[in-house]
Amino acid sequence: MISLKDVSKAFDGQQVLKSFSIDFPDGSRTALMGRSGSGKTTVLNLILGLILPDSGEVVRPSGKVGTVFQEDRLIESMSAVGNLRIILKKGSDGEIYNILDRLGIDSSLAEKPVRELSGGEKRRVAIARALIYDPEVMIMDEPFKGIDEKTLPAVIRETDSRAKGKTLILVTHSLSEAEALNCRVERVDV
Amino acid sequence: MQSKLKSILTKISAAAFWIIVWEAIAVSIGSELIICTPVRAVTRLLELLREPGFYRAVGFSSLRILTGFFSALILGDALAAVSSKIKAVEILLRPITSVIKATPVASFVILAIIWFGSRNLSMFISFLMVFPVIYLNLLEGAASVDRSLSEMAKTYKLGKIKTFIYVSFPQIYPYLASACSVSLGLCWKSGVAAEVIGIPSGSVGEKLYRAKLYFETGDLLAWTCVIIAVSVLFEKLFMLLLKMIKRKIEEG
Repeated sequence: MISLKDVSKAFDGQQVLKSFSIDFPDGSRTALMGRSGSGKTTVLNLILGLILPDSGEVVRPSGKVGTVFQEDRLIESMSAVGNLRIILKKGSDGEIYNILDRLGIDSSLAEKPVRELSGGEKRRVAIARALIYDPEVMIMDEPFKGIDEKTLPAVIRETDSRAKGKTLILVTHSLSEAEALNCRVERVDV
Repeated sequence: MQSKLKSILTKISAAAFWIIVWEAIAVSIGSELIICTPVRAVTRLLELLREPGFYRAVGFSSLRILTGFFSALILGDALAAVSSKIKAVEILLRPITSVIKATPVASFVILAIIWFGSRNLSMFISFLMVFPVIYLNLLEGAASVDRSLSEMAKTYKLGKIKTFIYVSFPQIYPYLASACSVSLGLCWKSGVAAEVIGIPSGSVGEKLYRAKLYFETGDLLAWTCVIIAVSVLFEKLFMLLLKMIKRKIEEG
């Protein structure tokens, strides 16, 4: 189980989390909601171990974690296929093209350098990377922002299907996204 | 295709213009001791190509100058990587790079002759000239690596080698390419200059020195053409290899 117990965190004197506690049981789906700057991304970064708490305890996941960051964090000079290939074992190309296609990235787009893709396409590549990693825990920070309405249902469907039996932690401003992924909603506010 | 042809023709025309200027100056001076004509330089170059000593001299100097370059490349890379992680190492190396950059090559050449003799002089001088360029450029490159991508690599457990190859290298590449391009010209210039001072037997520098000694302007210009050709050829080959490595990495 992933958990934060009485965690406080401040940046440059600005308190972002104050004695914040939350549990994420194995296999659960949780949506963290709250106003901008309320500390949702800070919670994710604490779980990922990218930052340390000022006080309190963080129980981090021990297995593989598939992450969709708030920014795409793709290697722009590489293709979408290349970005996925580097996190997988050799010989996974069939699976890579398959998942990208399911998220609306056809093979011609998949082979272009990521820098030539649109914002929404990059976002889908970032989601594909997290899903194909086959993680035990999926951490997604506003994963669907910038994805057009026509493609969004397929992306949510694929995420839902790949998240089965896994711990999913989603940061979102959209209640409908949380509901579509059957997440319990937790508020994050100082 | 047409624009490429146009670009090639433009370059040839520019080179032809300066060769004509050279010819005009040489003819108007009328003394081969001061400056020979391009035809004379090319004739001498063709004669040199048939001499066995020519290849030995080119091999002798190339081996030492390129050994100096590669040693500086390896050490510069390694120390830039360490310095970017450990501030104390960077502070410790700062005065050394500043001194190397500011000291005249001739001072190092004389010191090196006293310390090691002249045989491997060009290797030492080429190393010394290239090291700060590689080290400082890569240090700057390392500072520019996007931290958010390093975090992504950590999250996806890419490991140190894969992180370097796929995350750091593409971002450092422009700094490395620029440093190598500058250094490859620099190592030949400084290496041959050192040989002219130290006169190691059988080197290109010795040939240049002898040409100066006997006022053989034809030999001097022919050897200069050889140095430029070898330097440019090696630079093109090395930069092509670097580009191929980058392309291979980008394919994933």
